[in-house]
Amino acid sequence: MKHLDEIMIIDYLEDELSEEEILKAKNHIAKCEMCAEKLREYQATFRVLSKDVVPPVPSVTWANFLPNIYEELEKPTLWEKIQNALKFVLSPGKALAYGLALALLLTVVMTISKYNPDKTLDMEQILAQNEDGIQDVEYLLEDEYTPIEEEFDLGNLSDTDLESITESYYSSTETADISDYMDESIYEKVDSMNEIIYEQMSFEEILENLTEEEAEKIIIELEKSLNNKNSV
Amino acid sequence: MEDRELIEQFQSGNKQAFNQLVNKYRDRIYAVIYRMLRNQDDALDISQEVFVRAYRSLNKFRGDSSVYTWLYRIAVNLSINYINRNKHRKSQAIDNVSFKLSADNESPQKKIEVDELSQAIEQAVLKLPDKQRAVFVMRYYENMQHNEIAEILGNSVGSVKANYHHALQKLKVELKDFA
Repeated sequence: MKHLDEIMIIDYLEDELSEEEILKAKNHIAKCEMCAEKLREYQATFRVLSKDVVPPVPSVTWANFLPNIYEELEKPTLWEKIQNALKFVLSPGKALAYGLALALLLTVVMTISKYNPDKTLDMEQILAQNEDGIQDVEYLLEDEYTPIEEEFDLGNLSDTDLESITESYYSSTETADISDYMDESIYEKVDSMNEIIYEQMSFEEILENLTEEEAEKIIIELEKSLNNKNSV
Repeated sequence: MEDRELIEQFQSGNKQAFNQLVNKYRDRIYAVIYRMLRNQDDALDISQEVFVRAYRSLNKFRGDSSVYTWLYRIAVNLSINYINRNKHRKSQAIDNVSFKLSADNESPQKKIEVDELSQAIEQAVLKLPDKQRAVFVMRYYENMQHNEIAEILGNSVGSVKANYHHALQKLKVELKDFA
């Protein structure tokens, strides 16, 4: 007798099955104590989860919600900070030129810092050597990767299989989930890959929190390096 | 007033329209963020950030999706970013857990049991990876369809289903003592 897998049981409980599948599942559960027990376990889990509530927000906190938003909107954005610093340091014509140079340099730095061919190869080797252990990742890899908009932007990376692997693996599966299938050395390499992603996000976070003074320092340093490059 | 009218009003210069949007959606946005982050202060901060970003982008809003889906997408992405930035922090403060489920007229023993359950759910959800957590919250608590979740996350329906199933399998194990 072929048992129901857990995915089917979950879909059965959530009315995601076709009528034919529901009938088959019901008939099987009526005869199979193991699957009936699994069904009861999931039903119990759903009952527990249904007791979860969202804590109420005090009315005084809600009263301040909109004013806090407007207060935050008053603060300059990162680009505005850089623009203000540029205006302070440089003339308008130069400000535009160096602003564009800054944007270009930051893009190049971020692209280079995200792409590391050595670590890329490690990931390819890892996947080749651990086919049994990455069934979940393969499930996700069937689909084309699309960078998520807004903050979580890996858009500077090219849309390759490796990008899909990294995003799917990192976002959907804890390394601990498949560490049992991996040698310790390979597990450490995979963990290192995740660290690169964490570091990249920290870099973006730092940029978001620049003060005008910090932005000014970066611009002055970039101006020096541009001048040095032009004089070579 | 309908969302589209509010957007048009805002884009015409009526900032009050934005206030109406905030008041209309703040509770739902806060709820979904809270369920992902499990910390009220952080959830409120991120909720504010959602609307700050929405304000800055409203003039460019094209109406390809509903306003709520658009706000939802911002909220989920910011929450995922927050989770990843704080991945190595100790588990969230649980000071605000104790009031959640217990009622005033319950016995102390009952309150203890309820608090333990609440903490267990919280810890179980916090153990989920970011994507699984996001998909689980949207599917189970927000009753969203797989294709809606896929649109918000920019993933395929298959990927969403995989994440959801994995999340539930893990939660079943984590919560078996309370089931």
